[in-house]
Amino acid sequence: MRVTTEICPVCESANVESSTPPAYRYRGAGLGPITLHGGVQQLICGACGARSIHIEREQQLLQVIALMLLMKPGHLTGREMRYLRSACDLSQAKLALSIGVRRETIAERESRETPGLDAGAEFFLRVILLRHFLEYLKSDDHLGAEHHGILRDHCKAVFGISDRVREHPRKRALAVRQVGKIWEPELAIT
Amino acid sequence: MTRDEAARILAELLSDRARLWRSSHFDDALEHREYTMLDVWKLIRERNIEDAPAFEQVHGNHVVRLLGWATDGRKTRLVLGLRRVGPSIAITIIDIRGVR
Repeated sequence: MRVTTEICPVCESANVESSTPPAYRYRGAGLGPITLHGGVQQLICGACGARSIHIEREQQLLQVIALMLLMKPGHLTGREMRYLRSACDLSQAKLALSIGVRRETIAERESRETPGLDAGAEFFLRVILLRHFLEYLKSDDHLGAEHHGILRDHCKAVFGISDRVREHPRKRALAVRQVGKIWEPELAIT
Repeated sequence: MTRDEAARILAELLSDRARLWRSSHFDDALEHREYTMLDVWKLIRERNIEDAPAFEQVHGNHVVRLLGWATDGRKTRLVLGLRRVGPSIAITIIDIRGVR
């Protein structure tokens, strides 16, 4: 710990000790403790005893958590579903409309520790949430270039099939060519 | 402090030019009342200042009350202590359903 020129945000006393904890249990996302390594400043006031914290670029942190959840392996918990919806500034009613279910269904799934979606339903939900997240970023984007690189790669993987469907809306005849001893598709599948 | 000055400080908080502090008490209230920092930043972004900032002699800051809707649709009040120069602090967040 070191004494700095900071003042206590509560009582304005200059008698404060400032520290940057190497690991901090962040509770602000409502997802249970998330360990932050760096980016946190803590002040302990010698006059009023208040312990105050400041999280650097917290809005970016919250969007990075959303990005991590969108890419998370395994099923989302109900709280994680709720967090992602909130990070897109979506109401339960709007999300329900996007998915084609009742609002009560969203509320019920979000209230469970394990929402109980099968892999297909969860993939569909994540595609919808990812689209809403991208839309939200158009008006309130705190992510850096490196995060956008990760997001672009993720979108490419997730939207690959649906984009190909959109790019070729008309019915096309399939053609297959025999090359040596194997059949090769003539439409490029990449 | 005028509403415009308060709005300017809120804009500085949003753009990370000013720092928002909070106490462990605020984090406890956040968790207990089932809010997240997404709600806090949403209310700051909306900048719906309820009434003129009031100077708080004891803490030397201006208390600003922001009114809006949390991400789950609850009508919510966020109370901040702002300073023209110096640290601003999140004081509390309250669900005001049924509160006059």
